[in-house]
Amino acid sequence: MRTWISLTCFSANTCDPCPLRSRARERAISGGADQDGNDREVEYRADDLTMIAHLALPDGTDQRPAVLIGHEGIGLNEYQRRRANQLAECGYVALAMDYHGGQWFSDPEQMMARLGPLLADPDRVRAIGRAALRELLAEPRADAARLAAVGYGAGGTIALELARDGVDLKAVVGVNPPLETVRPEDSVNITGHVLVCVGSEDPLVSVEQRRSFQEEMQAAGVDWQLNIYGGAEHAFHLPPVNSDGSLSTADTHELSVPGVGYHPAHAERAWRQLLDLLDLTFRRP
Amino acid sequence: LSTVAPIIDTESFEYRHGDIVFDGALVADRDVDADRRPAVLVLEGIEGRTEVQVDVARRLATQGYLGVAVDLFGGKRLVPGRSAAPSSCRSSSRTAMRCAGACCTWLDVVRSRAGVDPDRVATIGFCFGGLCVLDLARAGAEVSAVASSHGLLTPPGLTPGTPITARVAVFHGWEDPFATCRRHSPRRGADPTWRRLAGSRPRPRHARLHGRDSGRPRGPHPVRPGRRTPAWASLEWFLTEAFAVP
Repeated sequence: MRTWISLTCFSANTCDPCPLRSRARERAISGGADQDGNDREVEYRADDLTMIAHLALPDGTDQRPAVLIGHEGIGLNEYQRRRANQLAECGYVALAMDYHGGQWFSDPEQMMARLGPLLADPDRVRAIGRAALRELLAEPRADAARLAAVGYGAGGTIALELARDGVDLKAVVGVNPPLETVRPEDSVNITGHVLVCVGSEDPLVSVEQRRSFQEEMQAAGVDWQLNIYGGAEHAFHLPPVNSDGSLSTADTHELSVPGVGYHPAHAERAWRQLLDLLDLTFRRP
Repeated sequence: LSTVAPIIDTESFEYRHGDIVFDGALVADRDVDADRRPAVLVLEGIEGRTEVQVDVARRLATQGYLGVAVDLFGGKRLVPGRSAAPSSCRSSSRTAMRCAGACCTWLDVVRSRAGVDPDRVATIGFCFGGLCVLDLARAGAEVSAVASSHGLLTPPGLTPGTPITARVAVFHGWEDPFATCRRHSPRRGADPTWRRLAGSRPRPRHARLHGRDSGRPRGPHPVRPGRRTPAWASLEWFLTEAFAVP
């Protein structure tokens, strides 16, 4: 990790200085960023549930690009709250949304009992996403004209469905998202750049799914990119968590699921790609 | 961050192999304080060595590397110009073998240069050069990393089963007519660090790392010399990681 930072300094005197190379960004990448007083929990109603999201603001008083974050299917935990804080340190107004009404699913069957019908219904998915979006844009510092959505796992589906629904998202990022949709024709409504990051060994995102997604994006004329990370399984971005959702110090998840595994190197690469895309989208003329 | 423009030194370099003279350019940032800096070989397409390569090498130099624009063909060029289909290069095993030999020689040349860390050398290639760097990795060459941009993907079949030790990144356009993504699946097992970036709209431009075709329509992140595109940003991190001292 340190070597990344020191070698990055080689670029400090280039003719193309990049604001990404800030200390805040490097802290964000290293996982060391934490807000102090600029983050809070916010509640709102969606899908007949009271959602408990996490809003993080950057320093200052001016309007900033706004980023909506969708959590994994298991629920919103400290990992995504930290992501929101890290994005705030990088200058974005970030809302880590909630789409389970504050629930954390330690039982995969219970999780799928909620996720299955939800993901099969794009109207519900989009309504949940739009409710979170309204909450984000209710924050005066959030710039509605500079909006992005990023999502992990099923949260990536929400980000993609929002884009398909015509929300003017300048950037859409899905990390380990299911790529199937029942309304591929709606992709013509996507206005921003789409980045998807998946593992080559992800049993939930097959080669056929990737191919269909690519053809869907291409047919709709979307500006898109797909990063495939060699050897990575599903949820490669997610550090080990305990069954109650708390972050673990162990090397593996407490609840082991075949085909699901953390890959620290690829997790960092995907995070850098995400930050790069946001930077290129919002900070460069 | 300093806003002072760096001082870039460009040195022409030739070596002779038999009757053929190979022409290269070594590019370094004078202000980078490094006793032994990593080196990155830049391989161009079938048109032979171009100024575009030197531009890419210059950009790499500003990041602390020795950028090396290399000539694979020697004696002006082996294949006559851009009109020749890249697939014809693959069809000629003689061409592939000859370029692989030139690659290896260039690696030796660069490693022996003063100021270069011989254990931190990478190669990046465009189009036919992309094919060459992948072939280099497939042959088990001891390089830190190889990156291919819109390169041909078909394995030459000369070194089956050879373990790939280099990190591999492939940047590719979904609509690239010379090597379609539909036909090629990533090789599994032997090269655990490969990545592929399939950019799109309207053609493979998004996945390109430099802006030779600046007259073409572009996506929201135009590929221009000096611009930091998503593909270029990805390449930067890729090299940074590959050269990190453990």
